[in-house]
Amino acid sequence: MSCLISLSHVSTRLVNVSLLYLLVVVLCGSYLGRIPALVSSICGFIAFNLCLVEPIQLDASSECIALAVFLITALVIGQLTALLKARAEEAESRRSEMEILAEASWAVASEPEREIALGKVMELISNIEPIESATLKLAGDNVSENPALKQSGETSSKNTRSGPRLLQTFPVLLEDTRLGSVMLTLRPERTLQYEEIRLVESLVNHIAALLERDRLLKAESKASALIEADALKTALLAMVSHDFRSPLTTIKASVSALLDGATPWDPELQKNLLEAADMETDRLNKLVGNILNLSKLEGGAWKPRREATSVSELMSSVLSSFNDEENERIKLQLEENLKDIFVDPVQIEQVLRNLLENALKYSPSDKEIEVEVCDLDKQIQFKISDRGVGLPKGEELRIFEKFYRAEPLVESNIPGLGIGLAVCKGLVEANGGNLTANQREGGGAVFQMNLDNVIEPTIKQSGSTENESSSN
Amino acid sequence: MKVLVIDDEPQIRRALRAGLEHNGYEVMLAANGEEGLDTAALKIPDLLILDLALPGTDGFTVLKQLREWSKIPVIVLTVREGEEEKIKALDLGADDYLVKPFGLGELLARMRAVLRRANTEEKEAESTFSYQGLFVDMAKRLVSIDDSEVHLTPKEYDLLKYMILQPNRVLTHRQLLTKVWGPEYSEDHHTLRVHIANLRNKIETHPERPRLIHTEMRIGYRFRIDQ
Repeated sequence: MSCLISLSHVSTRLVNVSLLYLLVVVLCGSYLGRIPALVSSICGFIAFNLCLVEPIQLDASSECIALAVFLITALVIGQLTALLKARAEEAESRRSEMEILAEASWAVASEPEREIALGKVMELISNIEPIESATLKLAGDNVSENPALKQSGETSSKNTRSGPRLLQTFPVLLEDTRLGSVMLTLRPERTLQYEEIRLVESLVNHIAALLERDRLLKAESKASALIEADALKTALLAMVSHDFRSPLTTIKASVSALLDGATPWDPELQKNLLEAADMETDRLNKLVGNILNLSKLEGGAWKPRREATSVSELMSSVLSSFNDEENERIKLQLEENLKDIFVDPVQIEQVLRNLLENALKYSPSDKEIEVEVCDLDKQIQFKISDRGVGLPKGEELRIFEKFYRAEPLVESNIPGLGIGLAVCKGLVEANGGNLTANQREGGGAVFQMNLDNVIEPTIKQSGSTENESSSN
Repeated sequence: MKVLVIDDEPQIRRALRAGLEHNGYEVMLAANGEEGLDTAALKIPDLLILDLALPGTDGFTVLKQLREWSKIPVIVLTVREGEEEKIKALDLGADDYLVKPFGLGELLARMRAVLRRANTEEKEAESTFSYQGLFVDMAKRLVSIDDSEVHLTPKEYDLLKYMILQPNRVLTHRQLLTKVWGPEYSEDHHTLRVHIANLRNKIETHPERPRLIHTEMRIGYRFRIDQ
């Protein structure tokens, strides 16, 4: 101001000088606000009057008018500029508020993980300037809430070393249910302004929406799991009533017939009855095994104990469970120097046995089953090819579904439940591999199983054992 | 021949008693572990059939306590699941295992094998072994197939000898490694596998479909001979 006054001494024209004072008022209004603008216009008026008009007598009425006009203009311009500035600031804060809300909406809409989405919204809350930290307490959490903070918006002060801080609680409400609450710790000696409270409330509403969405999603997945469990239950019931009853009927009939001592049995007939009972017992036992496998498949209860497994040893163990006649039909081709596979040997043995049993069961007894094992660099591939009935066209994937049996099989009297292949696939996948089935050219089916081999070749180790054994 | 059956299931005890008595065995029954141990101590059976899943003192405990003072052959009964259970029982000194449900014929075959082994152990190891073209002269440490000599490394020979002295018995990895290599090698499964593979190549007609050395996945090996 004083600088301006000294400048004004240079200038002799009164009107020009008054404009300079007005400039100061405008600057004060736009940078400092309403009160400084008012003060600067009055200061300007006095300075104008004292410093510049003094040499000139006040009797000239035109100058009085000029002074009055200056004062009024200065006041009006000052207030208008200040108002403009306030509007601009308000618009800016609205914009950032909108931005925060948009970000929160995006987090709610796009993030499927509840915890991550909640974290994002909570971060947005704690980024609001006067807030030092924000914590979310959900109604179901074990963290006990401070009873003093239960009421909405209630504040309490907490004295810490850095001065009094305010704690403020916002309830997370959905309709009339209280889902939890958001607790805010404010920075020292700060309070929330009206706009900030409004913003926090909107964000808290986002949290409520998010919790509700999550609840609905869970309910939906639970419902579909229930539907599936129900389908399984129905299938199991059908299985128990039909597939269990028929062997039991045979056993009961044979044994009770033998127990009936009224007439002595012909030894040949007696043997027949007992053999039937014996066979049906095995069948029943197999069924029980199948149901156990099925329940494990359902519960994802297979915990493979994977270890380096020699393919030739695995195959020899699998083949030893088949009789000589069956072994005649199985042609085995192992590539030389196969790497070990990294699997649970017992589970994969079960898979191979099952696939081979299937191949034998579904192909004519004069046809061979080919088993080829080859190295695919990172994986070992097992290929089991038969000349059996083959796969129903277009249903190559469905055969791995639970309880699926190809239409011609259902009508045939080859027994089966449609569990074996589902179990095989489950086991192979639990062991990090994959199992596929395809039509074989010229008739029949090809099952292909790829399994990871051991990453670290064990050449070094086997070398050392060789040395050790030869030195003995 | 006295057989003690320890099983908590009355129907199984009843069936086993009938089946075994019919085959000329003298059968004693016990419904739980404590009773079983008492009977074993008082009556000294020749063979014990032990259910692993007993209420109270379980089969493993019975086996452990029994092995503190007795070498009576033991066949354990187990359910299908879990090789762990079988390995544990075998390592604790069970002679064989049977998975429920089983046929009487299978049980009788296992019993005969176990009893025969018990007898040969008493009679000292025979000095030669001969089965389907395989001939082992234990005095000279010589092995031949169809009269032509097969060269085995010392460890391969020890392994073969240990197995043929206990035919048809499941020998766990740990048992084989401990007996042939020593206790410090008890976890070195890879060494064992390599030697078994070599041995198969030397003595089996079709090493990829072995007839003599049979693999019990994750458990161990069984030297199989038809009786």
